[in-house]
Amino acid sequence: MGKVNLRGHIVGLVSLRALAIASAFGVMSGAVAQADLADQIAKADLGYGEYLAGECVTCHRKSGTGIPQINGIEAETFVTIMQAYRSKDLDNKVMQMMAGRLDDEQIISLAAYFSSLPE
Amino acid sequence: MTSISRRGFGGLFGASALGLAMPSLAFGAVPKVVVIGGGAGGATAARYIAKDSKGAIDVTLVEASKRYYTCFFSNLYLGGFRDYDSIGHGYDQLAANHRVNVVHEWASSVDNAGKMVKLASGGTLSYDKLVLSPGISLKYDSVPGYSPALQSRMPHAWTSGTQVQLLQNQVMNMRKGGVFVMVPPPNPYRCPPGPYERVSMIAHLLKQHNPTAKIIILDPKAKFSKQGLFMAGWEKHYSGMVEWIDPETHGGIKSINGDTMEFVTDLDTFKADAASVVPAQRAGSIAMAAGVTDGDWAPIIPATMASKADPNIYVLGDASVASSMPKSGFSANSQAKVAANAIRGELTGSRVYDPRFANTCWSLIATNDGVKVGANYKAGSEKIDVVDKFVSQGGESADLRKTTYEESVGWYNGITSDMFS
Repeated sequence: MGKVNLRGHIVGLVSLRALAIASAFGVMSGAVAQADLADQIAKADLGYGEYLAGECVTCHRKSGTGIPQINGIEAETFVTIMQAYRSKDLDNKVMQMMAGRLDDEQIISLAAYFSSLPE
Repeated sequence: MTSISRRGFGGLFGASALGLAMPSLAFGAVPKVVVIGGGAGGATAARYIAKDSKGAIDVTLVEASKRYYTCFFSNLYLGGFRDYDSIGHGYDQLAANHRVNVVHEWASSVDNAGKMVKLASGGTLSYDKLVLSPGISLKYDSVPGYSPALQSRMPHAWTSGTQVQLLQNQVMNMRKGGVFVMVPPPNPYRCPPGPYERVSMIAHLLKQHNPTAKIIILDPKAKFSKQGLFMAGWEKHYSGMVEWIDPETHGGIKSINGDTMEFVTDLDTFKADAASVVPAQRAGSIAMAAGVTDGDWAPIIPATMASKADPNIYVLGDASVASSMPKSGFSANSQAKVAANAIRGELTGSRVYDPRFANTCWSLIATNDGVKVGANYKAGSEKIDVVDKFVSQGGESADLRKTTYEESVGWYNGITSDMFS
């Protein structure tokens, strides 16, 4: 998962990612879905993402201990993880609640914003 | 899971802000925001307004203390889990990084019509928008016999700082097998789980240094935050040490004697070797002086945190009536971002996004035994409504409790960075 340390509590991420993308895009093939997601991330509203990120940075900061740092996270990884919290496939009560009221556009705006930041 | 929409983003959000005029501002003038109170609400509001307006708004933060000791995690200092220095923070980065003008003075009154804050030193600050985040004042006489003079013998330690150091010293110097009496405040008050986390941290100290000591809680409330979790934790970690007595049983505190350290109730007279008395609370006094309170607290418009009494004043955190949100640092930080967004929109015409609120309160019961309760919220027409909520469960694994504690440490680093960096 590359450069962002998300610690041991995120397990089985590869399969979750496939699951999330598959469920987000219904019957489309993985390759098409990924291209479409990348396109949406590229077009996302960074200002909206920055505003929404106000909810995240109360806990997530540049050098995270106890809570992973998410600045510079790969956008598609972010989308996958947030969708997995929203569907309760990932297990943390705070994150399930925070992700629970984000729609896909909001998650994509956040992904675009956090991925645009330096680590 | 719903499919991802392919709609564009333009025009979906904040359209209402685009048409806003900028009343009362002279053309070309840089609008001024004054923020009173440098805690979780005020420091966050000052930082976000300054950071996001990028010089388009002149921001002044009025905070008497040059170094701010957080109330949150002061219990962890009490229990020996944090150094005192680690809960102290300065304002230098707000000035250096975001051009916030930090004024270390007391604000004494507000001229609402003239949009002017008067400082105790005699100076004045004019504003276009005023943010009040003064925290709480204590209603000492809510506990018969308690007074500012008695806070040296029975620290409230409810505004952090040296009171917490004093309390720790008194707990450590109790006689062997002595009695500690805790008097929590009545609702509503700052930090609902705080008195019970305090009991946990004092029990943690006593278990190591004075294991035959006892803690008696004389509670004015019949129930309290995370009650089942705390009581199970006390039984597990400090069996036989902590006794919680509800108001129906003790019948209310009739008087306190600071010389004899006695608490007189209908049930009995309790003689303490050390004690903490946390009285009832109200909004910080500048909120009273500004005329934005109704009774003890300041009513607000949920969507913006603007005062219901004065459209140019916003009230954040403990001083506001922000129900259903609890009075917590997390809540104040969350409300500050909503207010900052609204204030920027009013003063500069920036886009105003949908208000969103959240809160989580972590508490430490014993080493690596953390619990949490939280909710997220939306602005209703009359109050801030719960969208979703959660609470730690009884019987959770030791691993999960440890992770919860570690998460609280991450949150502390996050929120203090969000306030002061």
